[in-house]
Parts: sequence; structure tokens; C-alpha cells
Amino acid sequence: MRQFDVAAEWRNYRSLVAVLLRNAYSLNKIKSAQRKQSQRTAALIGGIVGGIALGAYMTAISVAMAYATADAGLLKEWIYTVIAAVQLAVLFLGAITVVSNLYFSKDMPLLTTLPISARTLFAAKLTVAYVNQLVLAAFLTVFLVTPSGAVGMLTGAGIQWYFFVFELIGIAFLPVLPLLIVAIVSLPLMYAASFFKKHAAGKSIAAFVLYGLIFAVYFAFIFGMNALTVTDPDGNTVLNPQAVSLIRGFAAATVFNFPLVEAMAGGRPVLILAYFAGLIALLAIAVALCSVFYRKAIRQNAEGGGAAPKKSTAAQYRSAPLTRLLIEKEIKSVLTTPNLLISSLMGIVMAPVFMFVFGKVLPVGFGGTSEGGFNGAVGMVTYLAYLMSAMGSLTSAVGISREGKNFALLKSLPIAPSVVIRSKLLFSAGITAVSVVVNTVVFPFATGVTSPVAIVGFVLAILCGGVGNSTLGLYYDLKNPNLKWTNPNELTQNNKKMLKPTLISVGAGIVFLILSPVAAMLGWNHHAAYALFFGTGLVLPVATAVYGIVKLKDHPEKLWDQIEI
Amino acid sequence: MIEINHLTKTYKNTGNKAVDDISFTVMPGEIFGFLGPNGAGKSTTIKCLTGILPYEQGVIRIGGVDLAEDPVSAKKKIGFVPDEHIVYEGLTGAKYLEFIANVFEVPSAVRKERIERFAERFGLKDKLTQSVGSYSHGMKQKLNLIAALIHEPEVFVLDEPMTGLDPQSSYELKTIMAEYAAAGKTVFFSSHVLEVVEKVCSRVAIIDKGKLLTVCDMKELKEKRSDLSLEEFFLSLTHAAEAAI
Repeated sequence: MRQFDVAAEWRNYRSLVAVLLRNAYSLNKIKSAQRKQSQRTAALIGGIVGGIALGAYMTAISVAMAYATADAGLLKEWIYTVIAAVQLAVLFLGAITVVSNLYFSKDMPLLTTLPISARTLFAAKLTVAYVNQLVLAAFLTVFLVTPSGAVGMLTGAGIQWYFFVFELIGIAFLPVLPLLIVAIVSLPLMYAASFFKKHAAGKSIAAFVLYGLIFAVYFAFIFGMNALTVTDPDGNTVLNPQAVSLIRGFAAATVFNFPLVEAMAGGRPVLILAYFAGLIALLAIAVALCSVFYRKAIRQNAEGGGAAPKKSTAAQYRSAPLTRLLIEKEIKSVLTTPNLLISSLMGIVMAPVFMFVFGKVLPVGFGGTSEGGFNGAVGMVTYLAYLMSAMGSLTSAVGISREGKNFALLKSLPIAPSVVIRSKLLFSAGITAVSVVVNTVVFPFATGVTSPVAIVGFVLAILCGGVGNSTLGLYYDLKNPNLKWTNPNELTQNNKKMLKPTLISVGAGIVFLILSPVAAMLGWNHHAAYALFFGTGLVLPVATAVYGIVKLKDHPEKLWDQIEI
Repeated sequence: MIEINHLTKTYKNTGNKAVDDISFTVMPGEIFGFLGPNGAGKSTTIKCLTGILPYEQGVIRIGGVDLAEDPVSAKKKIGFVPDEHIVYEGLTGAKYLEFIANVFEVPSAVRKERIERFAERFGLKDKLTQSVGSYSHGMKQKLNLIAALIHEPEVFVLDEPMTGLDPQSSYELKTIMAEYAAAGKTVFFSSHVLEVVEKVCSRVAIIDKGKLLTVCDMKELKEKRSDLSLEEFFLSLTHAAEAAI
């Protein structure tokens, strides 16, 4: 009969959390120390400036909305909305961390031999995911919730001093609910996925589906907020009629936050205790589910899982070109790593969905068509498609790191580095090509634009985004790969090598957003307007692509040879 | 003591019965060798024994504790040295051992002494403050050995432990195995290096194609078949099993 030793489980939990956090922190520190001081300083300054800019933007939105909702007597509903925004962001960004930590970590063969219960293992890994999301939760809460509370106090909308005390408490506890939701949903999902024959790919796809749903909800929420306000004849920002029902809808949908919001803004501070009680209940559900599913899921993983096999056939031996074999290896590697699978499918699956939503359903920017026929929705649509297709190529940014300890084997084989690099680029090119085709088909439906100039420009934008990111990303990874990861999360999270191409993509994409109203205002004939729009917008993507190709063409073998294992 | 009764393990994704109804007992005070060709079922048996893999039939008891019924208690009795060392490369050797000591509830009063003692024996004492990521393959293997011994387990399970070890450390390991057995503990040792098995083990089991071919006493084997080395005996058994199929 199993003995449940609370003291031992608590001790093991503390030890394991400390070890996992220390390991991740130390690895980051080692990688950082390998970079030049100037690079570290530049990255730090860039991070601070970027953080301040984003924070200022979020504060501006929050203040404007807080005033508008306070005027309409809906401040408390707005508080519901911003808290939901923080939770959704944690859900969106934390989902993949949770899934990777729980199911795809390479330390499971070690941890399953130790006298640590599955329950403790589950709790420890979830805690590590929680700590990783705390900084995000703190950042969002400070810049979204604090300004709303401050406006509430200033306008006499019933916000008291303890709003900010509970907000501080909320920072610590806001990530708990979304992470628990992901963990609870993932348990039966991953257990079911482990029965697939190709269970590793099955689990990655299950993770992708889960992540895709969260992603869709999050972005629909965030971008939907853009449509909430209008400017009245006096120049004041007021809520539009749809906004009122939308905000009320969010409040109703996030009724689980009732105790927290009522404690913060509803004049009933004692309800904070009910909030904690709710979290404890959810934790109990997670632990109960874990007892049923998690141990089975990790043991299935150790075994290799899979359904009953078909009749065995004799092995077939066929020769194949080396490049093709290497590309097949790339496909398998991405298919069995959920972070990378999600990244790869962004441009192919998510981009068309968002193009359609923001081109047709919620046209953003100059939503209408100008005099000359230029459709302002092209700006947002191109931005989204470009960004997501560029993200799809980020698998190249960890192209070498992904090999992990197997890189030693690859290096020892009589394969020219250029062949390996070419195969990785061809794989990325394949993803980009599919992305181009899919998004180009969707483009006219999403925007109503059929101008050949626009379509060619759009194709070039997606192409350059993909090529630029894959070549640049692979170049940076060749210079400084991380081959010692145990958790696939370490490949993508806090990965500064992915940051540079990502920031370039965001910058280039924002140019499309800015150019859209400019092109519309000119009132030119739409072909000419699209030519100007895409011609100008493509400068940065083309420059990125050319730069990436040049860098990678220039003696990649030297970089390859310098990699030490 | 290790008791394995009618253990059967079938991998679902291949339908392969990797271990087929094997039974044996390893008594305290024994160094028990577990041998078999590649793909025979050795690693599967060891993974079942150490709680990594589930098994559909049979009973495994570690020191009298049923592994399936109370895995945590059973694992507390095991010190396991796997063939693949998975350690946290971001930690120092000392921090990793501290983690293992915490999990196995090694009293604070003794853990420093034990770590230093084993680190001294394996020549790792000066390296414990360095990060595991900087260790060579052999050094990681030594770290795994120390981690398996730190809680002075009742049952010491080793899967290809000599791989990567320098001669001095190999000698130390054989000495420790003998000391453990002499102290009444159980040593379960799997290796392809039959010369070592022949020297250190008191009994051996040979498995092939998932089935246990024999469990025999090394002393008796030497007396009855002095003409054969363990290697020759092993080959004769496994080839005979193949021929029978």
C-alpha cells in the first residue's frame, strides 16, 4: 500500500523546483557570458527601450479605456477585461512552456528513477512554468491594471487604496489560473495522444491544437479591443455601442475573476479569500487529474507509446540523395518538438485565419477603400501574414542547436557542412513556399483586392520574410549554438538568437502598417498605390533577405568547424 | 533483495515481447551479473526494475516492497547507474549531488562526508564546484556513480557502469561493489565486459530474445565446466538458443 508522506513530497518538490530553476538560470548565464560585453550591453539597452516603449503604449490604451469606461459606469467591467488580458497573455505564452516542461523534457528518464511521486513531479514542473510567466504577468499588470486603478481613483469611480495592494497580490496569483487550465486540459489530451502510433508527432500536434486555440482566443481579444472606441464630435474618446456589450461580455465570461475584481474594485475586499479558495480548488482538480493521467502519460512516453502495430514487413533498403535524407530528418525533428511545430505552422495555418479575420471581419486601419481604390485593410493583413510567415522560418534560428548532443555525430560523418546547411535552408524554404501559396490564395478573399501588383507585392513580402529570417537565424545559430539543452523550451524561450530576426520582422512588418494609411491618403489609382505600398514596404524585407544570404554564403564551413562540443 | 516473478513486458508500438516471463531472485550479499546479447531484453528488464517502464505482467519487489504498488518506497531502496547519463548541465557537480541527497533524504550530518569520500575515490573531488556541462563523458559517469551511492542504497543497480571510466575508477568501482556485497547489500550488474563479470559476480543470469536461458552460480560453473570461460559459456548458450529457434 502506498504511503503518502506529505513532508517527503514537500521536500522533494522544493528540491526539484530549485534544481530546475537553477539549471535553467545557470545555462542562460553561461550562454550570456560567451557573448561579447558590447553585445550584452546592446541587448540590455534594446530590451529596456523596447520594454519602456511597449509599456508606454499599453499605459496609453489603458488610461484611455479607463476614462471611457469610467464615464460609462463600466470601470469595474474594464478591470475584468484587463485582468483577463493578463491571464490570456499568460495562457498564450505559458501554454507551450507548460506542455514542454511536463511532457517533452529530456530529464524524464532521470526523474522517473528517483523516489519522487508523479504528483510531485507534475507540481514541480508546473511551478517552474509559473515562475517563467511571473515576469510577464508583472509587466502586463503594472502597465494595464495600475493605470486603470489610478484613473478610477482620480475620477472617483470607487477605487480605493487597497486596489493596488490586491493588485500586487494579484501579480503573484494571476498566472496560476491560466497555467492550471493548460495543465488540466493537457493531461487527458497528452495521455490520449500517447496512444498514437507515432506518438511523439501525435503529442506535438495535440500541443499545436491546444496552443492554436489559445492563440486564436488571445489575438481575437487583443485586436478586438481596437474596435472599442470612437472619437466624438468634441474630440473625446468614448466607447462605441459594441464596446459596451463586448466589455460586459468579458466580465460575464471571466466570472471566475469575480472575487478578485470585487475585492479590488467592488468595495468588498474580504472576497480576496474566496479568490484564493477558488485557486486551491482548481489546484486540487489538477492534482486529482494528475494522479490519474500524468504517471501513465510519462510512462507511455518512456516506452514509446503507440497503437497496436500492423503486420510486420521485411525491411526495405533504398538509396536516397543525402539532401533528401537530411530534410526528412529536419521534418521529424520539428514534428516531435511542439515549440518548433507551432512556429513552423504559424505562417501556414494561423496567418490565413488572421488575414481573414482582420481583413474581412474586423478590418483594422483604413478599413475602407480610398478614392483611388486602395484598400486600407491590406496594411494589417500584410503585416500579419509577413510576421507569421517570418516566425515560421524561425526553426532555422535553432537549426544547429536543435541537433543537441547529436551534433557530435553529424560533425563526425563525411558530410560537407554546406550540405547540412543547405538542407536546413531547403526545409525552411519549403515551409515558406507553402506559406506563400496558402496566404496568396487567401489574400484576395481576405481583402477583396485582386490587383496583380498587390498580389505580386504580397508574394514577395512573404518570400522575403521567410528567406530573411531563415538565413539570418541560421547564421546566428551557427555562430553560437546551444547544444546542451535538456528541455526543448531552452531552444526557443529566452533565446536571444531568435530575438534579432524576430525584431527585424516586427520592424519590417510595422512599416506595412504605417504605409497603409499613407498610401490611402494619396488617393492614387489603386495599382500605383499598391506599387508604392509594397515597393516601399519591401525595402527592409529584401535588405534582410539579401543580408542573410550574403552572411550565410560567406564561409559557413568556418563557423561550423569552430563549434565545440 | 530483488525479486522478479514472471515479469513480461511487451512494447505496444512494435508488439515486441521484450521480456517474456522471467523470474529470478538476487539475494543480499550477492553481486549478480545480468548478461545477454544486444536486444535480448537486458535494458528493458532494468528499466522495469527501476520504475522507468510499466509492465503488464509479473511482480517486482525491491527489499520486499512491491514496485508497482509503492514505487516511491521501492525506488528509495535503489541506487541506479544508467548507461546513458542524464544530468543537469547547468548545475555544478556538488549541486547535483545535493539535489540527489535531498531526494533520497540523506541526513545533512553525513552527506558532506559521503560525497567527499566517494569523490575522492573516483578522483572527482576537485571538479565538484565546476558545472557538469564542462565534464567529460567519464566524469559524468563518475558523478552518476556517486549519485547512486550517496544514500547507501540497499540495492545497487548498474547498467554498463564501466563505460568511459579510467582504469583507476574501474578498479574503485569493482572494489565498492565487493564492499557492498560484503556488507550484505544487493548488487545487480549488467555488462558486456564478460572478463569483469567473471571476476566480480557470484551468480549470473543470461537472457536472450526476452527469455531467461539460465541462472547459474559462478563457482559451480567454474567447477563443472573448468574448460569454458564465461565468454565461451555465454556464446554456447546464446548460439544454442538461436539454433533451437
